Amino acid sequence: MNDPLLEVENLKKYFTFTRGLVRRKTYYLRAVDNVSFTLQRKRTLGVVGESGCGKTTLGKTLVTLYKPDSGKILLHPDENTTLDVVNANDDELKQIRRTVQMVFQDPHSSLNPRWPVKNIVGEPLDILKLARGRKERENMVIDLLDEVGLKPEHLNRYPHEFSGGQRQRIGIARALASDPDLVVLDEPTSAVDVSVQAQVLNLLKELQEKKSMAYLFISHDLGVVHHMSDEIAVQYLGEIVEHGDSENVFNEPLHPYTKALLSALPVPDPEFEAHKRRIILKGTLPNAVSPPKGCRFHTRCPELVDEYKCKNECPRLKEVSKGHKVACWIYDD
Amino acid sequence: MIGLREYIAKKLAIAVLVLIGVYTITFFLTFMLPGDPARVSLGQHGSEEAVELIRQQWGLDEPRYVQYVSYLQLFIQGEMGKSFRYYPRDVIELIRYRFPVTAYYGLWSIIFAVAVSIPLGVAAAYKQNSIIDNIAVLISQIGVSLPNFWLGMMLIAIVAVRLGWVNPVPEVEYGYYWTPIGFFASLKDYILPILTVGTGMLASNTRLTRSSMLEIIREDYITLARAKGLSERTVVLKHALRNALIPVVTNVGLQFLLLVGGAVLTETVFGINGIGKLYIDAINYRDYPVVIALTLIYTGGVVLINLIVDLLYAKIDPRVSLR
Amino acid sequence: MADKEILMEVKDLVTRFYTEDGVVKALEGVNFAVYKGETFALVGETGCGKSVTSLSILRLLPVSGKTLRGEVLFHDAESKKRIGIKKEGPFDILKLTSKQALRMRGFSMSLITQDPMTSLNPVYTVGDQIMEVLQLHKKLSDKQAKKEALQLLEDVELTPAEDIFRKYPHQLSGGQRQRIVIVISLAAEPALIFADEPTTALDVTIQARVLELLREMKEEFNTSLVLITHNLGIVAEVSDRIGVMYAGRVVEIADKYTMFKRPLHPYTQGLIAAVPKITEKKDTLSFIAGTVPNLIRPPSGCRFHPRCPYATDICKEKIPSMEEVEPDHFVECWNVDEVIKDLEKEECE
Repeated sequence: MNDPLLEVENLKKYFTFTRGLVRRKTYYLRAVDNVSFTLQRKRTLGVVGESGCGKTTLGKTLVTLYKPDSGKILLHPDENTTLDVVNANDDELKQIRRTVQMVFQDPHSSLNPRWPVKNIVGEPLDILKLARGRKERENMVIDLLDEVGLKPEHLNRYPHEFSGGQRQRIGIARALASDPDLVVLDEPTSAVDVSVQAQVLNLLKELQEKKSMAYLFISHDLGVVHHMSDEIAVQYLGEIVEHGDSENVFNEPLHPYTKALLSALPVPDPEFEAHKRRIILKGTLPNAVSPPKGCRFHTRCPELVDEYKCKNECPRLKEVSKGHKVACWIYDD
Repeated sequence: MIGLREYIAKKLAIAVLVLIGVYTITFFLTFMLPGDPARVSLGQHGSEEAVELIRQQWGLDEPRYVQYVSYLQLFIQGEMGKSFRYYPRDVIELIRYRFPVTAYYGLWSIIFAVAVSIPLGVAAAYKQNSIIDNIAVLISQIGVSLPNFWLGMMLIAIVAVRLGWVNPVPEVEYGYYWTPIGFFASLKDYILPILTVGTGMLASNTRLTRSSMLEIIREDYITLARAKGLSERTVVLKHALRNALIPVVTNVGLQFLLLVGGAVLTETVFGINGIGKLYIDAINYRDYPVVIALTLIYTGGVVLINLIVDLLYAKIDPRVSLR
Repeated sequence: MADKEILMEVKDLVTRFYTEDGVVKALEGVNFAVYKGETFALVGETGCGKSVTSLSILRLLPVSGKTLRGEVLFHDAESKKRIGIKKEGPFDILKLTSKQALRMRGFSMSLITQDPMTSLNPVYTVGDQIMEVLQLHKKLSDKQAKKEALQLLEDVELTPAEDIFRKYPHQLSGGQRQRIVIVISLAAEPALIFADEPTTALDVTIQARVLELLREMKEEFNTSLVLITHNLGIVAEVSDRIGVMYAGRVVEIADKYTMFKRPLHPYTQGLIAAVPKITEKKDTLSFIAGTVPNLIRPPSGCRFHPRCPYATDICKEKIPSMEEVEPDHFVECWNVDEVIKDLEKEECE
């Protein structure tokens, strides 16, 4: 099975800012640094990491909300088409936006409070000129609402009239409007309660099946990511440090950071908790503006193998077992 | 973060540029006004020769740019030139003479506004929707919407004329109000101007203190301060007030600046010979040196007060770094 | 825990909020007890009243809130000494005068709030904020208080303590701030701490450290902890017993192993099943149909009945009372027998 939908190569997105009036100095915040991965059609890649690791920036770069500084993003809407996301012209950009959509984290701020639902969901239809005439547009919006479990009578209501879970459904309907092949989901359930979260996650899985979409699922909640994803990529200070099949990464994590992350996750199962070995990381997350030299995790790593190497040389992501990649000197022979 | 000295030096350097800019704009705008200062000074019946003589004396016969440069040179030497209207008196001397009375009632207005508004705003926020809160809201709404000059005239009509409690126009010997006794003794004479100027300030300060306080007392750290077992007094005065005052400080700084604008109206209404009166008269009589000098001093005041507010800010709120 | 000593009994606590939209019936008869030295978790979704419970007990409700009914019996001799109560037996916190309540707060019980970014006063140094409690409740001099504050900072591994002591909150990271909040809550060695979502705003690895610290400090000071959270993972990790709250009532109480293995209230069952777990992979998650009720017009009878698969007529009419269904396992449900029967059926299969 090799039918890639998305290929990302050495992607970099740095944010720059300057400080100082007399002696101006430019700083780079390396939000996404040298990230490469491939996502197959209809699959879900979970991206996990702590706040500030750059996972949201990665998602926004993929949907062309940010322009990358270097690297390649190739999109294959079908087997014979390749879209170069970084160097797209206007026509291609339109096609890319049809193919890739995003659902945002906060359903309160990502929906325009002064627009009724029919305009929020219908907007992508207008921009991409997907509907012919008002009637067809309205029917399309009703279908989209139906798909996410909302009713036609919701058409003329405003976002504040909905609960958090329903608002997230509206966001999903908007993303589905252009019939995308890839949806970037940025923490889609972090703002809702557990019982509602289950409903939204079930809906997302159902839609994926029905519409043959691939997901890039960004979350800090490892339990949710595990439930949703076929593959997992672990991001730390802008870099992907481990990437593999979901089961492999969760059952046999390779990178010390992944191990710590998993051991730190409280699992709702007291017996599991009672026997779990905890790795407590010392120190705080370094600043992404001046990340540590060498392996970025070395300042907190409990398993330093080679003092010199870990502190001075940056490990590359390499395949250790089939489909399981890790960037760590431990696995260097 | 940079050192305090470096910060002040930087601000002063910017101030010089601002002053030059303001001077340039004022200079050319002023000379664009219709009417010849020399003609205004001599009146309709002055002879052409006399007017020409004065124009030469005042340097008005020279090209604009020469006048512009010569004034600039004067300012660099720390002088302000001579007034047209009161020729040959120095502008500085005029301003020095007029300044004390404006400073006097202006300072009291601010003292009055701050002393009343902060406790009132705090009390109102602390007991939201109580009687005191309603009173505070009413005062701030009325105070903000009343025009200064109207309030002044009403106060004269009612308090001074009808009730006869105070003089409608202050009758205090020049300079007496800045003696230790006079500072308080003159209050009775200046109470109406103080109320006139102070009410607007009081209103906006009360409103700001109240809303800022309302926001702060909902903060987690206030709940936590209560959970520590601290008394309400400590919670409000120590933990809430200092945070709530941060926006109020800016507002009070701004009010110092508004004083000058307010002074023009107030001094006209109350017949006080202060800076405001000087300003408006200078404009009417085309006394350009005075107009330019006052505008520049005002600009300097703006810069200085902003600097003081910034420094105060950094003192109250450790999160603010001077930049 | 064989001979457990009761620290606090909450009985029939009723709290209302008077808002412009109407009266919010936030707590409708809350019952639970906390033992000495244990961690009791109050679990529930947004708006179930778990935070209101702690604020009602601490008597820190905002002006719009009022506790109408109930008792909070506190068994602690030292607290009685500090407050000045001579009477035998426990005292009722809700009956203290406001002056007495001041002495109780911080000394008998303290609070840890959710967001470390907003729970420290930005304009005072960390040292000031710690010393304040020490001087208030332990009557220490400036010098002694500073010494003890530095010691506390060392205890929570905030070193060099002298440096941290002089810092302002904005100069510290979220994890460091939360440790300072913990220090403040422990400074007067209270008998009970309410920790309201203490780690929700933190990253997983930082959260692990803060939870670890909370556990250590609790042991060291022999404090009881009421942990308020929506995160079932954290509950499984740190609590001893759990109370599940739904729409203003505690509907089930059990020790944590029982609660996760054999939940008996239909809501608890739904809640636990709805959480995705890394220990098992399912295609679909089960969920609770419907949404959390509006507490201005809550459902009649058992507030869970509109979403409950076991609901019968009586559920719509009367609120069930808390019954000890199995030893130390309390459930508030009219149809708990049916639930148990279903469980047994499942076990047979």
